[in-house]
Amino acid sequence: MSIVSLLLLTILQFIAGIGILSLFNIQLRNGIRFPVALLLGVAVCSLVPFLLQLLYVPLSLLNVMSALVLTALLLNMRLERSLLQWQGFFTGIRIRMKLYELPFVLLLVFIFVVSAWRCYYYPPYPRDLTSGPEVIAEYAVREHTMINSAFSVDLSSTNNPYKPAFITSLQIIYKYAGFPLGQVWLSVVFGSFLLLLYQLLCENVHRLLAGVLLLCFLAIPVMYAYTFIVLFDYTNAVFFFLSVYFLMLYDSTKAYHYLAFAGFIMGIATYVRSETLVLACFFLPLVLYMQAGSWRITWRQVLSSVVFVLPALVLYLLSIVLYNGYYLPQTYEVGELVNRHLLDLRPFFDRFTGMHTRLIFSSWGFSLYGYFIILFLVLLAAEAVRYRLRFSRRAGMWLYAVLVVYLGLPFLGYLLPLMDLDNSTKRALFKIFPPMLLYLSHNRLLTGLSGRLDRLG
Amino acid sequence: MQIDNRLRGNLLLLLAGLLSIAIVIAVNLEWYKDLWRYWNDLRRQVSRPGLEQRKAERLGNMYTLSRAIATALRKERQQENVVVLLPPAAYFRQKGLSYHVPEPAVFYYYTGMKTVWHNTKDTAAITHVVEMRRKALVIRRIRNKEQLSAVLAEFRKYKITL
Repeated sequence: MSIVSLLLLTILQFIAGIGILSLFNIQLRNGIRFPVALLLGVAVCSLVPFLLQLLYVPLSLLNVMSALVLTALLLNMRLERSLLQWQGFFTGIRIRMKLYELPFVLLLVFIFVVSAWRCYYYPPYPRDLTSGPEVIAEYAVREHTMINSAFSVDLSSTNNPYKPAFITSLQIIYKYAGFPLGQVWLSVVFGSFLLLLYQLLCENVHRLLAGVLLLCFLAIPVMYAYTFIVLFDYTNAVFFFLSVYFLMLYDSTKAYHYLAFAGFIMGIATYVRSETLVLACFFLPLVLYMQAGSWRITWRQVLSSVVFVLPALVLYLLSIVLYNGYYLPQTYEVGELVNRHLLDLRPFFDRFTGMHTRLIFSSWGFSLYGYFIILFLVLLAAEAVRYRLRFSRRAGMWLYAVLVVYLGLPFLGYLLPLMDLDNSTKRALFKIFPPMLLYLSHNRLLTGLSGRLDRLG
Repeated sequence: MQIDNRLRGNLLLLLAGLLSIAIVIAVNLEWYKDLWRYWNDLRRQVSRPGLEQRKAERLGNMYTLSRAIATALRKERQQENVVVLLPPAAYFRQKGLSYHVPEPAVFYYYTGMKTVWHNTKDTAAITHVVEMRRKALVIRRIRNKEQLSAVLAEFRKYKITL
């Protein structure tokens, strides 16, 4: 029964995802359209119960599921575009695999199955989840509202109930779908992301190298662990990456709807983790540069760049300012969390140093992140020396994204002192790895090697 | 001849692929050991689908003892408006019991029962207290303010850890 409901829910998510792609008029090849649509579907699912709650509609099984079906249908209302998407999907299904890909594919499937099983089997564990989104979701299913008896408990030990409703909404849906522990949506996110990354890597490097790079990425121990431990950071990293990817597509197409779409996905990333709004602002110089083609920028370009951060801002206002301020029975002052001594830059440098000494280049750091950062640095240095710092445009943009996270996280630590190094920053660093991986697929040493491998098969 | 070359190339790539996988695994051996352990767990767990068993396996004492406390109170039909004062984990540790006391929100998630710690502002709402007596976990009803003050003073000697 659960398998059937999971399948139906995933199909519904896919329909909703295709609907969003058609609304934004995004053209993708099938290998990328499929995982992107699934990820967008998960994003839609995370918004529906929250929006119902904002309208005070009871979150009963019937209401939630009807709203999901209705949303998926409404998102496909621009029939001419939607039909094109569906046509493209059904006519373009081709699965090709070379013999030498088989060991990688089998290993990737093995890694996915193990993660999906643990995600399904074990109950929610981290206190960030059980003291916030999970307890709210559990009682939302019983009481049909997110503003439920969980808020009548002494919450002085936690701020987790005041985090955006992304996980709560998904937990409600999956509990209704027959998974009492919820969580399975994370495997949908992980599986889609895995497929997407493999497809994107194969666009630039030989399939053998794509397999090796993806395997190195999956072997980041702490990041893999969070593919079956439900928390905000893995999904946040996925949507953050997706937004940057569509920003790249905007750069190559110069079509404004790609920028709007990248902004929409950054909005989802902000809905998952509200601090992402700050990182979204860090991308504004890049967006401006993409629009102007140089650093001579007009006011009109400044205004049109705002479209990239606008969805993130709107979702932040909805999920934090409006919901926390006017819906929840107890108020949580976000303003009090902000550093009051902004002129003192020491915390920024302390955090920046701490990130290196404690997280990246320490024995603990290696047990967390493995050797992926070393691989990235070695290949970055080799390309920088060999090509005298002349990176390709795409590689440069992925490096910009790496830099945003690299400098953005200490900045967030300085801005929000509650964001500690050992937990928050440790997990927030997940966002740096997918851009690193995509940079590696544009590294000219690897693309050169790919050319030689192509001659073999 | 061309087919032979292609086949040879593919076989070479297959060999290179297998070698690469071996190198990645060797470099990330700890991760791979964990992965293999998870796989062995999976094989064992497939035949044990019970929800409560899964929770107990994963959450340990934190879950089972919390459930036991809630069940004991419910047996006494004292569920209505019950607010239980729980000591910090350090208290139990010193008394020889390994029980990581969940914070009130988590306890409510596990059991549906409201609890507070000694730092609560609303001490008037407390109806019961959980303590250790002669190496056993006991639940007592709060009868008067003096009794509550004495218990709170005792618990305040221990630091709350999340």
